[in-house]
Amino acid sequence: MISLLMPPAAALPEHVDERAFAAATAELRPHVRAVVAAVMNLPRDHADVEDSTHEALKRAIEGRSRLRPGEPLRPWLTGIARHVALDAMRARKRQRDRTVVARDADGSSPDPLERVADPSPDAFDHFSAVQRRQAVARALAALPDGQRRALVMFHMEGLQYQEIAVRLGVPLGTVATWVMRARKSVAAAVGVTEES
Amino acid sequence: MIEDSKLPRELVWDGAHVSELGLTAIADGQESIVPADAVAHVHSCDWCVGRMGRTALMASAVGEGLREARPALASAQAQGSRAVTNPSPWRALLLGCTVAVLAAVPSLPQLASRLGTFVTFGKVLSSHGLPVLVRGIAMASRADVSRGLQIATIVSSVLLVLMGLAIARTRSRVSSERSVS
Repeated sequence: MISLLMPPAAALPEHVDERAFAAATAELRPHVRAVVAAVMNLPRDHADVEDSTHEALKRAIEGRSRLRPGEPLRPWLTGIARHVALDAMRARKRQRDRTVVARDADGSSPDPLERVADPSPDAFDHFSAVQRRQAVARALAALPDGQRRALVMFHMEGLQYQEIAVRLGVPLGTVATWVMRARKSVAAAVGVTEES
Repeated sequence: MIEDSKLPRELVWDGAHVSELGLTAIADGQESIVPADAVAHVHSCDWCVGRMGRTALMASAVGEGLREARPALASAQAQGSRAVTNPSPWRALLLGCTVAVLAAVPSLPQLASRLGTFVTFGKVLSSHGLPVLVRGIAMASRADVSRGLQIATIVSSVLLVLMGLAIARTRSRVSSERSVS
């Protein structure tokens, strides 16, 4: 096992070589595929999902220098997967639009709803940076103490669930529940839903 | 210290599929604490894969938001700690009480002469006032008198104002008679 395969929430060390980085990202292939499938709303074994997953991992390896020191790999890779999937959907839409125009010329246009579908950015993208910071701070302040501490320890201190459980002196299931509920509350406060 | 190595199965499974909590843990890269069969199921079930992907997207967005908001959170925490270290209001209260006592010192000699009045007032209150009050509370607790209590409050307020006006008028008349004589 390559030493690089540390817990995914942890940061990668500086000066990672390409092979080690490729191995680390390959470990996260199921995660990337899940994100792509979710964004594209397609089955996990669909050819477009597979292509986009491959493309996302390729882009991650090529752009590994953009991963800032201390930045966790998994969320960074999730962002790349999301962008690749959205790009693929836009390309599919453009392709569909061209087909529809061609069919219109023939007078055999299919369902007009096909022209409407557009993978637009989620609600998080519409927030200005300042609004988002304020909304997040307010949402975090409104959380119960345990939930807030668990979420901050996970996202901002990079601790694993087990480390959080030890530090807070609560069972592992409680940590998982707190992180899940806290995240949903913060996401709802800033307009991010699982569907967006 | 509490030592768990895996999440309880009843939290991880929701019927035939992996629960939201289990998906959250997997999306957060905590596969090591999720039972292996649940992890395998997620990667082989289209429904669970889609939910896990959405959970990962939400986790990523929230994590990004928290990292962006770090300066705002730090300043809010600093403000909070400053509020905690502010001098407590007890000093101001103590100062106010001291001034009040000092102001009352000139009238202390008269207090001894009025002590008898206070004792009499206390006796009258305990012998007549308190039983009336207790009876009233008992009656109010037995009956549905919410509307009656509202009316009684208004009537008693009006009575109090009228009595206050009467006392003020009497006092002013007495003082004016004294000044004339």
